[in-house]
Amino acid sequence: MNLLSLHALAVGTAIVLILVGLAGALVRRNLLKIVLGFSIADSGVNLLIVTLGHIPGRTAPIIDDPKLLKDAGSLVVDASKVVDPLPQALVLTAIVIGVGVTALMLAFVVRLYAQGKSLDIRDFGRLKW
Amino acid sequence: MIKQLVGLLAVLAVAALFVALLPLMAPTELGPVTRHYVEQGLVENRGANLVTSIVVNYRGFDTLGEVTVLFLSVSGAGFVLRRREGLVPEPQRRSSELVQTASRVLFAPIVLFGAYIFVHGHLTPGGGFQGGAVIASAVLLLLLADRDRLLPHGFLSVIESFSGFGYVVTGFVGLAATGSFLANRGVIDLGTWNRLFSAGVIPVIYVLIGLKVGSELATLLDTMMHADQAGEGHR
Amino acid sequence: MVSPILLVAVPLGAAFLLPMADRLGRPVARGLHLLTLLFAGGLALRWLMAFQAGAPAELITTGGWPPPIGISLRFGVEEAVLVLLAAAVAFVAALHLARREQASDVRGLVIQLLLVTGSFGLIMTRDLFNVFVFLEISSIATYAIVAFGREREGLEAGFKYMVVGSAASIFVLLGIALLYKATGTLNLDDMLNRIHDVPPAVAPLLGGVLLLLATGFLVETKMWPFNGPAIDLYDGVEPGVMALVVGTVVNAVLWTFWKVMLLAGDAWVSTVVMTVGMVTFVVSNFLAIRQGRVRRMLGYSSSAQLGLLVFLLPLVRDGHVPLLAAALLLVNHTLAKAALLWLAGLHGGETMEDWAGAFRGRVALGVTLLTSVVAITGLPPFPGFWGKWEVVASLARSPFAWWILPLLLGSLFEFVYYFGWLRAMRPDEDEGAAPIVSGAPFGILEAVAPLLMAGALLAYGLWWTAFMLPPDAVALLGLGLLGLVLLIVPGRVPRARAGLALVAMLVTAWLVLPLKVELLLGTFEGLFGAIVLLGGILVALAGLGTGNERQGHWGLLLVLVASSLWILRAETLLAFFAAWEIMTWSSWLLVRQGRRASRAAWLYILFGAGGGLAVLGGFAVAMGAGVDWIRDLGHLSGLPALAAFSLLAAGFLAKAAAWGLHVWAPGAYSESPDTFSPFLSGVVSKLPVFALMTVAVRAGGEVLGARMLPVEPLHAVAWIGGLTALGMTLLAVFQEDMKRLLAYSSVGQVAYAIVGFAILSPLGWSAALYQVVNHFLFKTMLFLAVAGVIYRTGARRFSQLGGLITRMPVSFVFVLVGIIAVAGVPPLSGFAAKWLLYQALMEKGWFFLTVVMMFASVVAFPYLFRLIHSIFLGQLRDDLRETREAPWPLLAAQFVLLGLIMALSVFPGAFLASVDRVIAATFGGTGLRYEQWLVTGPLGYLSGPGIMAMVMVLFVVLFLFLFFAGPRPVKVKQLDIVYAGEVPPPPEQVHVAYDMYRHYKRAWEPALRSWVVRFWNFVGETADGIAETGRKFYTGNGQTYLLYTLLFLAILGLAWASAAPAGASPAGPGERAVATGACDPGTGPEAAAEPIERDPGAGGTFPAAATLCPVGARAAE
Repeated sequence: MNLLSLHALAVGTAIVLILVGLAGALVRRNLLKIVLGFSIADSGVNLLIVTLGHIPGRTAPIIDDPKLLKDAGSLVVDASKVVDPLPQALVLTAIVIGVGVTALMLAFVVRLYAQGKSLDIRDFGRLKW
Repeated sequence: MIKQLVGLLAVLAVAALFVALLPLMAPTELGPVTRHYVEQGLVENRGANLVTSIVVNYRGFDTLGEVTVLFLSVSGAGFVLRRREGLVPEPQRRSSELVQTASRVLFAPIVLFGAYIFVHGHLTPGGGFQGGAVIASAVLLLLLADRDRLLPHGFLSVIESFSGFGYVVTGFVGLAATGSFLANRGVIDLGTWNRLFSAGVIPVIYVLIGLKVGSELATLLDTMMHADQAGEGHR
Repeated sequence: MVSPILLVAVPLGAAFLLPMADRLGRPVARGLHLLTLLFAGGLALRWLMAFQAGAPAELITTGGWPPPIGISLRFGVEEAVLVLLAAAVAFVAALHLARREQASDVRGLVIQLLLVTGSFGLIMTRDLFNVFVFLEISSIATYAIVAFGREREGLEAGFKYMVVGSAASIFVLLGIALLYKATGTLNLDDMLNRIHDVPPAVAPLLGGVLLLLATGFLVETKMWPFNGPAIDLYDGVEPGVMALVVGTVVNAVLWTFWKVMLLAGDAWVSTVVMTVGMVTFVVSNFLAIRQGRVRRMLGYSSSAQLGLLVFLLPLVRDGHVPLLAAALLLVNHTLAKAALLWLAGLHGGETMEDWAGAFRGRVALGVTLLTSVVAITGLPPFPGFWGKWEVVASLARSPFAWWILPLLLGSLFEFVYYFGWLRAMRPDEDEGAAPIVSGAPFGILEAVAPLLMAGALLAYGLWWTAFMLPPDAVALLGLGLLGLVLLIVPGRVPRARAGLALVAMLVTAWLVLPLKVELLLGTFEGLFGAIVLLGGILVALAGLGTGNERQGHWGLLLVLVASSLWILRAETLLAFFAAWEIMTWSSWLLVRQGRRASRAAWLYILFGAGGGLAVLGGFAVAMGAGVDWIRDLGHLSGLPALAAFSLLAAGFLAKAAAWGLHVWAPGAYSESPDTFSPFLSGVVSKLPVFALMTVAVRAGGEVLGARMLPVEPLHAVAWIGGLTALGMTLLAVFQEDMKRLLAYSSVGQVAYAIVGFAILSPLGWSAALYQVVNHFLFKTMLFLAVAGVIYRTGARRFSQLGGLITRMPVSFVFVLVGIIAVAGVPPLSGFAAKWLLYQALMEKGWFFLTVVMMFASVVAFPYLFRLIHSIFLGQLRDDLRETREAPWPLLAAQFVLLGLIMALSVFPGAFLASVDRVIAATFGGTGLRYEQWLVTGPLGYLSGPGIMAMVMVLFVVLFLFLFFAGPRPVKVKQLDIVYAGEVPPPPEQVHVAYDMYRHYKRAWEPALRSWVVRFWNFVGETADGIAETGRKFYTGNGQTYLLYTLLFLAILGLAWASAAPAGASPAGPGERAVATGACDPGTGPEAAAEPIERDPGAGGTFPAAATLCPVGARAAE
């Protein structure tokens, strides 16, 4: 893998995002920042998955141009001209799921704050042992 | 402190695992399944946007689940926030007349743009989720400009329920027509490639999804913004 | 038939419509919810019936595409069972929860329904990314539903759960994406093929990917060390909700993990999963023993049970353990845990102390609780037992046999805390019982939920049991069933129940036992069967007189008699063990019915169940050597034989209360209900002797004679028996409570039979069997006599009694005869028993042991004397003047025993001759000769009638002499003692019978110190201490739990990265050759490009040869 290619850059960014997100969720005490950490990690995962489908030098899998077809007569697409569309479809789903989880987590934070008047995760450890 | 240090070390070790897996992330040729999607996507679905073909047809069952997740988390957030004790309502600060008017002016074009996106989901980048999100952003604009604004909950709820139910019904139509849930081919005419009325039931489903996502995200925004307001009529 | 896709589609549609239905009113929404679940359950049931009739598993396509193009789902037997279970639990949960919700909201219903729907999807889907979607649906629904009950705790637990769950989602999603990248497909079945065709460049990396995925699922299945948030969830969330989660999501996630593990043929990841699962089982069970909060304890238990199932995943996949075993465990856990959680919700008690007196007066709920606990700890007849047995049996035969050890250890801890919980529910009077919390009021719909679950457990368990019974055991089954009926049918008429039990046992005796005495006594089975039935009949007869037993007493007695008979009839190891365990728990429940028996019953079941586990271990060794039948146990040899014998002997000796394992016995024998003590001491204590003689000895085989260890195993057993006899007899001397005295005496007397058994000679066994029958007769009689005294006076301590000879003369005669029989002096049967035993010991050459036994025999005199002296002789106490003779049924029962003792005493030869036929079958010869009335042994002869005649003559002569020439008794005041300025002790302490042997006590002090009790206390305290420290692991901080998760992945990731890439390629059960030329554009990808035939019903028509090709490969063509 060429370390300076767009692909490598995207993979690197994605991994860094995941790690930064996890580290944030692990180190920060503030509930909101923990939620943010997971949000960042989610973005990293999504970026990584899209990148997995990327093939250098190819175009988006939207067939709005007959040049992308194998031959003019049929509707069979030339598979060597577009990137992998499947990871993009998966990421679409993953993003929505991430949004849903984040929304629910934030709702929890709102109610936890209402109950404990604090956003420090150490104040929510009554159940233990 | 030590715990945080250990945590950072753990993250670094996880990083090492990712680095070890790097060779797996290099670009590769299309796999057999996705190759079928690319080569036969137009033949089988007539949708110019192959991603949409996958999202709504080939892997439509995922998308039904995706819609469910959104519905579920909006319901869940609402369920968690149904109790309001313990929160003091923040003093209201109305935006200026200028901002309020501008947001009302912008509302309609943004909603229209969202509708455009989900109606053309099978032709251009975007689709029901993106369109719905755009519509919700219009609602967000309204809410930011005027926090006291009450959304028409009954209306949103009806749209939410029936668009979701409509999605399931569309699936049943496929089941009845071809024996496979959420089938596209053999349900209605697939039409011609690159036309608005093409790709069978894909645009139908995307319109339903757009409506559902738009209304759901709007409800969610409303729930979140009014989490501190005791006893008003939020269901 | 209707497509199973409706199982997902219909509930989804209904969930979307619920808010609309709610506009018509909450009942409409609830109705829609319930109807949907009913529909799902019905559909699953119909399919299940179709599968039973032979229908193949259904492949469901979506979007009109066969796999792997479209997402496909599978609906086979496994899925149908899981869906049915989930729908049933969800339906009952909906009924239960309807009234328990705080701040009711229709969205609560939506979340409930989607929780179930998500589980259905998760169960059925065969697409990996679809797995992720449904995993998230069920997870989010779980997160959301915690807001159902009390807010603060629920939210706190829920948030921690979300934090760890989010990390798990990231791992799972990454793992799935990378697997797609490596194999080019998302369909599970397709991937199973293609994973073998991954190019060698990246194949070694699959281990890392699978590690990511497995870690995600280990978190989702709440394994140690990730189970902190899950346990918090049990603690903080409404228990009814947790029951719903257990029945739906938990099982669905586990099943999904199973699907994923299909991919991980890689030995490395499989080992990780197995280890984590077993560690979870042991650690969670262990930490739970110190858990004082009931719901939290249930959380630990859930985690442990899931751990066991996760442990089984790779084993089931590789065919080492049948899927059915895991399925039985899963069904058992789901039903039992749901019932327990609902009960916990109904009662509402937080801590163990809150549970004191729980469900008192609510018999149905109490029985449900007991049923669920017995089921969840893996005792028969419940499905968990059959599952656990099958697991042990298959593990024993697999290369993973050592894993049985931690399995048994974890099961032992499980007994400790579950039965500890039951113990806390019924605190003994002297334990300073907390005020009884009656719990919040509840409605019938809420209460019906656990009842349904326990009923299902019982029905399913009995259905299994019916397969295991021997073909001719219909009467036995009838007896057990009648017992269950008596247990369940409400109403308190103890006498009528005792009568019914009596009739049932008489009929059984008529049916089961051939009535010819010859045949009856000619086999082990006949001999012990006669003891069991006669004991049962006499005890039930006595029950006609007392009529103060608690509800369930006579039903349980029937179950106990049936299981005891089954033990005798068992031919397979499984049947024996099942019967043994039923015997254990039914007798435990009977002990528990005593008024101050809570602690005693707890010890009883701990040692009983612990002994049961040792027996299971012994059987596992045997099964490892390919033995399934008791008669084949002799095929063992060498080390397995020794191991099997040691474990079996340990288990049986625990039940016989041999020294070191006896701490339960005094309490259990003495605190049992008065009409059960005779049976426990007289009959149940004989079963281990039977087991030693027929099972353990066979397993030992010729190893027992060979000196493999410094001592012969049997010599050790004999010494244990000798120590027991001496020690317990000594302790009996100093007892102040007559039942406790008899209890110690029982343990000591049974030890004689153990010594006789351990001699392993015809003569020794004659002595042992003679002692078995003898002890049954006199100890049952003595306990019945004492029961009569207690019934009339209400007193158990010697200092509260005295002089009853005038009021209860008949009982006096019985006790007199009884103690003479115990003492082993002529003319009664005890003498013959000892005579035989000493001869056998000397014949064997164990002279020192002979001395010990003789000494023990002499030491028995003082305590026997007390029975007569302190109860019947002396002056009648003023408060006992109105005492009447014991009720006639009690006397009748004793009279029968008296007659048998006399017969045995006068004609020992007749009995011994028939016993010899039993022994001859084992040894091929006998040690005694018989002529007329004479029995001749190696060291002399015995004539029963002769001795009797001689003693009678002497007795009459002495009696006449004393009557006419003896001194006249002088009347003194009983408590007439003069004090010289001291503060007088309470009157009881100056009673002549109080602490009668205090002077000897001082001399014997060191021998009486209960070293063994101290040892077991030390064991208990140490375990408690470790568990107390260990559970600090769960700090309560969500971030710490997240740290554990990441550390786990980090450490294993590093381990994998440093060690694995060399040899860690996936290798499933069906190892496939790597396809060659896969990147040849002519074969794979081109073929894939053909338009696919639309064939939604059939399986994938997609060519499987295509695979991942590097970008350059095609360009180079």
